[in-house]
Amino acid sequence: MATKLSRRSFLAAGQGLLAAAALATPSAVFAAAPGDRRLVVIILRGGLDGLDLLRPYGDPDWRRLRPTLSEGAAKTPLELAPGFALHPSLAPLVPLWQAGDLAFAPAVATPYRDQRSHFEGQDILEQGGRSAGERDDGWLNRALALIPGSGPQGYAVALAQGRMLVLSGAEPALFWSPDSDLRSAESASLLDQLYAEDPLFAQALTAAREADGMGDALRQSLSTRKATPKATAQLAAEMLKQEARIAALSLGGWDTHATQAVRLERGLKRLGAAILGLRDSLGPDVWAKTTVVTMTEFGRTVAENGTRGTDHGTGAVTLLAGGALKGGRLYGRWPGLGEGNLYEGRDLRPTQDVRLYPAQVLAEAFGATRSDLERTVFPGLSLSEAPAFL
Amino acid sequence: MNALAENSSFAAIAPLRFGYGRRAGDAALDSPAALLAQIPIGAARRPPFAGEGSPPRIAALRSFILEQRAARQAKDAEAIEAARKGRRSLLQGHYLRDAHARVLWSVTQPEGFFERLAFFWADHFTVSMAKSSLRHLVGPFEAEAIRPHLGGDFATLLKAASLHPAMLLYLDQDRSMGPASEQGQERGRGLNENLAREIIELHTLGVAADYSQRDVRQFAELLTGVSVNHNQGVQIFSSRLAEPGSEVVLGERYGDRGIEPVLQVLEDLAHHPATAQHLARKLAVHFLSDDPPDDVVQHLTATYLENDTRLMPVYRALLEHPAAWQTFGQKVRQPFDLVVTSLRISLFPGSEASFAKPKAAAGEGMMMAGSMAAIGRPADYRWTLRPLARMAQLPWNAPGPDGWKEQATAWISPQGLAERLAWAERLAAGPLRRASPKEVTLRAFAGQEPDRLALLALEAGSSEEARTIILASPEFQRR
Repeated sequence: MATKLSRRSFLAAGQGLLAAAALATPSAVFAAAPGDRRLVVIILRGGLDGLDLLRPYGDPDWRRLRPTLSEGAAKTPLELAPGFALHPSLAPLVPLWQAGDLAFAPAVATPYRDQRSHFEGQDILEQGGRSAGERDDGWLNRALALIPGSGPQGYAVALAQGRMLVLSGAEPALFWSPDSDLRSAESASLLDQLYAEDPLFAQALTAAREADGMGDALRQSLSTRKATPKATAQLAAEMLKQEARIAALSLGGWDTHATQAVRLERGLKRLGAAILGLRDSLGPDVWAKTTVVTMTEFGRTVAENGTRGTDHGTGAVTLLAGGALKGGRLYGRWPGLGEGNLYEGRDLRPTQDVRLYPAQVLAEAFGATRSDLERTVFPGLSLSEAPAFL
Repeated sequence: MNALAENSSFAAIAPLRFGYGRRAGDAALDSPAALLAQIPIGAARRPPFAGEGSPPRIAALRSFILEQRAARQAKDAEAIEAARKGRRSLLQGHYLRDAHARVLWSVTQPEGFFERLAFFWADHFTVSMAKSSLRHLVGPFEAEAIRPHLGGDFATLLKAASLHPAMLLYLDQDRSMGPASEQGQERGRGLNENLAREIIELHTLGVAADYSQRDVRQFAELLTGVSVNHNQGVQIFSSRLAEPGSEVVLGERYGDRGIEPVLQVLEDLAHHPATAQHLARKLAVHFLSDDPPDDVVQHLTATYLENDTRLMPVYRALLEHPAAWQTFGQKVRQPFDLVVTSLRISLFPGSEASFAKPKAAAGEGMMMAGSMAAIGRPADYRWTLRPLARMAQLPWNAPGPDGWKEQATAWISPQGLAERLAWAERLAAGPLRRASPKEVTLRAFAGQEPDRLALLALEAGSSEEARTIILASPEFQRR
């Protein structure tokens, strides 16, 4: 996107450079040729049940606590690692696992504990702090200030219908709803005149036209007008092939209190299609430089409830994908599901802070320094335990 | 913009800047007094989104939760699901009906200035349905705590808003208890500072004021005991939750227990100079400019302090200040403002014919069947909640306790602008399709016709395009 550098973003980019130079650690120097790596963050709203996405089917406690949800799981398991099988709706992703482009961290969480509210949980997930309201902007937006070359608005894009707090804040970023449509092609020059004396409107129009142009081209090639998760991921891919380096997407429908089998199948198929759509549209060269991190506000109870679903829990799974990661393996420590191992006697005990994964990408692929990440992007996070997954 | 301002009278600008536009039949607003006269009228009206009131709604939700709990204990899957569905439809149903009614109320009320103030104060004291367990209360909260009090003194408004059950639930006061209180000792639990912090930081002194974390904590301790009785749906004071002892907030000692010291802190906070400054600035930012001139902020601050927190003199000072007119056009209409103003000009009396069903060519989803009654039809949100959802400003849905963003850049994003253009097109092809571009202009600008837009409209390829251009213009999108 040919959005002009605003004075503020220029200054912010300059400060980022200075900060990087002053605080450079060896790993930041190694990553000092940023600009070519891609990060895709997918916010999974509603609390995704990690214990059903990545099933510890070898664990007798899992089968005992989930009598109906575990039915059939042992028959033809898509076993990824000993004792862990992928949900069958994600079968299309198995080749990625085999190629080393897919990994999971099965027991992660944000610092949020005990209240289990979507509202607070998502706020903390997107604000990146220790408690709701500690920050009012998104961690991905704060990270932009640390990335050399992140100045233009189109460098980071959020593609979603609703609010994307994770990328909201003082740094410029492009927010676009994939089902927005600029239809005023015939009045293009008239719109230019209309906004000629109002820079705010004129700049927004320019950026909207570019996003819309990519969306239109995509709609034409897909011959659909629907903003499915797959189509949204493909639009993100088009942008990531051009000016964008960071994209944030959103996928809901994970709040499976009842009839989880049906609801999760639908959700996971869409998630799988989005990831494959992203990979295919990016093409092998860009995919090789890409890391996809999914994050959800919390996991779900280990035991199923009375309505063949699960309730709000704590420990969750993070799915990692992309050609840039060391995949084909699980990251973090598995806490087990025995009675004494559960968090508050009901939830999967988180053994890792989920923020470590995006933090690691920002450090290694985008030149953000460890101290900046720990201090401003993810307050309270310690990167000393960061998994070496890249 | 400035051209419009220079050539215009008070009566031409006032409804655009301080109302939701002028409809035919609205009384002329030729002086600040005419605007101020709306306030007691508006405050006395009971809006439909008051519903049956907070107490029965809180109690209704409570009974679903109890049902769900009992069903869980009985392991009765059908009953669990039934209670869960009942609870969800209670929350969602009330919200949708209230939010729809909220939009229409501002569209149909003649008191535009009062309606704008109601939006401002409901935002200042945000209770958001982003916390989904409050969806049934956001409408009653505005109706009960905000509207009746916004023409009185701020101290009263502050008490009404801070102690309303919806606010107590939104800011977790029901979870707070004194660590040394009976309940705190029994349950090993303690303070939740959320309400105390937001009252000081957002509702009164402002984040930049001179107070300490200790003040917040002491105020939070004083607030313990203030809670909600869910069976009756009302605010209560429970001494079993209250931290014993007196507390020092901003150098004053308050105590011991009970609601009286809490009311006294609120009274003192309302009178604090930092509160005057904070409110003055917020009013100027909301009504005049993202970056208002210092002199108007100082003038409003002084007026507030001289009048014992009474708000009418502050509103008068705002309307009488030259900056109120010099800054015309600097604010971008927020989506709620844009949608309400657009619907007001689309619903001119005497133009019913233009609301008749359009021919099939207009396309699906574009038509407006019937007249005002059609927009007001229950559960038909195409002209109310749907555009607001797309423009990311559903009623009572601010992301956090600090309310909606004021800065123009927060709203005129590429996505935001695309949605505004789409809305302009929908109106131009729908309810306004029989109005000439000139007529649309006169309605949009309360009888004015900006030269620039008249010239641009001549270049449009069709009258529909001309109407779109007028509605999408910075002149109409700003105020």
